[in-house]
Amino acid sequence: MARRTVGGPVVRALAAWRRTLFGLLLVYLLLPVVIVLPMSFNSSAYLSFPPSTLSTRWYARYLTDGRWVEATVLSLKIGVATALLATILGTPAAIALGIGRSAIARVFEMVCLTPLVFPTIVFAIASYVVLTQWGLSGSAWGIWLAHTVLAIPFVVANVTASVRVLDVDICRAAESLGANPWRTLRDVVVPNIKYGMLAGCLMAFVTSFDEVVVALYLSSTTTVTLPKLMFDGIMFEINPVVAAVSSVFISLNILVFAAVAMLKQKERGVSSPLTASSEMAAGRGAPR
Amino acid sequence: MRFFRSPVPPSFPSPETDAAAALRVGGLMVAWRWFSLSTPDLFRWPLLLPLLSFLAVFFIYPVLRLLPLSIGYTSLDLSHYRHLFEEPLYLQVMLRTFRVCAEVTGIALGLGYLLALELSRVRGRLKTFLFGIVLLPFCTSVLVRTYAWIVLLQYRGVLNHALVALGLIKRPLPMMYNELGVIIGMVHVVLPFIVFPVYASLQAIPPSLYHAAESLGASPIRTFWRVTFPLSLPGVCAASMIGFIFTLGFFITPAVLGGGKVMMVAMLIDEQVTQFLNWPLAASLSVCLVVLTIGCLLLYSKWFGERWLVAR
Repeated sequence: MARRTVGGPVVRALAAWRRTLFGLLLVYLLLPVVIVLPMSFNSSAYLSFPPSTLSTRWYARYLTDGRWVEATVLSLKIGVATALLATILGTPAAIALGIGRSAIARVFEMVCLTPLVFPTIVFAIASYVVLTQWGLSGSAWGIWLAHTVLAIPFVVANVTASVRVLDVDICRAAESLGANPWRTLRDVVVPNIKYGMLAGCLMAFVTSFDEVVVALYLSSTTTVTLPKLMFDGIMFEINPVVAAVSSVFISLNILVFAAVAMLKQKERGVSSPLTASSEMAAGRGAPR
Repeated sequence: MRFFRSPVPPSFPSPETDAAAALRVGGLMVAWRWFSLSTPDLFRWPLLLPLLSFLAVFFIYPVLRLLPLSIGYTSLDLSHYRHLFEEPLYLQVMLRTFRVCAEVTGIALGLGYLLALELSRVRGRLKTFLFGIVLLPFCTSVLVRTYAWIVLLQYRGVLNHALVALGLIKRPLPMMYNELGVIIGMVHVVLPFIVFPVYASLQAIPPSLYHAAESLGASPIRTFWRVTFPLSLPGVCAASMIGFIFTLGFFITPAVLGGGKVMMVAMLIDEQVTQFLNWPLAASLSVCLVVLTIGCLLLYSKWFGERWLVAR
């Protein structure tokens, strides 16, 4: 690392600039996340800043308005169902892909991870076409199935990562001690990858809970997810309840990602939160 | 359970016996061996079957369905594609998408490099703390962040308010419903995806190289340009490519922050479907976008390996 050895005035000026810019960058990164909280306690219906008086009326409105409550419940339901289905489908495949060394395993892994980077709008209209044909659009079932496609990469990425660090020799040891593959799976493999499974499951839940674009297409007037309702609240009216809902979203997101970071750390034992965060970067996928 | 035990000791993998065993016992008997490490990859397909069939039905088939929609079901009809490339409006949208995405990726690369550089220099608690700050927006939903940018950037928003109060500007600046707003929002979304690969490549540079450069009398600036920068280039390339692929498909951020004035490909697709019900055109646009994305991805995996986004 090149640091404070040759300290010409140019170098020092550059370093000062660099540090200022770095500080500004941190502000840029944090500001949108932090600003939502004071806005949600603003008593005014307009997005005025600084808040004139503080109140919790938008939270009260959120919790008493039937539309918002229904949307929240629906989103939670779809989120849990998505997380379960994605974990059930993704885990065995991830075990196979994690153990596999062949080229074909790499190709399949790529296929499983494609939804991460796929343009969501294209997937949304494509599933709208097909699910309408099958009579599933406008229902929670359709949203569930489409969200599961988007959530699968998170499970696959997390579980394959866990399988890859799994010591192959302990599986061999179990097998050579006479455990059949099923027993090896139950008593050796699963206990070792459970943190990865849980992390993948949580991320799958958040993916579904945050998802807007697919929900925009597959929602109907009776089936509205929370992000879809929020999107309408942003686009067509400046609904101040959105600020309250946003703070709820932010708290939930932070909670889940803290849990994922903890799980990752637990799995790797001594490893630093850095490894955990770069692992999470690996699993967060395309912003939609 | 003894009944299910494999006929071959598992520590001696041999494809032939596996194949023979598969043929002989078939069905469920083999099921126990799917998880076995000594089973060749080819015999682990039943584990993949549920997932792959799910993806085939609910992901690959719907996307492939767009192809006949764009070229006609009965005879090859390329008129929609021709329309796409002859109509100046659509061409303009595509060019703008490329330009905005390139700008966003470029800006994010510059800012992300700086962040990564600083992150790779600090140690201990501070490092964890700074990583937390970079990760925090990354964890937050894009919709929420877009909403926050409205609060910040609008004409009577927080930033304009603050800048006027500080006396830096006389009148509020239009920072939203134009390209500036879209770029600010998009850079914020894509930045963490740039920081991690670049950070990883910076972290991989052995410190002894810096010591060598220093002891040979190179100034910090020279060390940066001759040692740090060239060695971080793989990370930079990977990051910029992934960033570009991501930004191509952005919909929410440009739609909200652009206020309909900054039309990009994803928004054009949406508009064609929801407002004009012009499915064939939307489908052909989608096909173009998918081909471009897949092309970029194939190049990416050829250069940087299959594991996208993995910071290492």
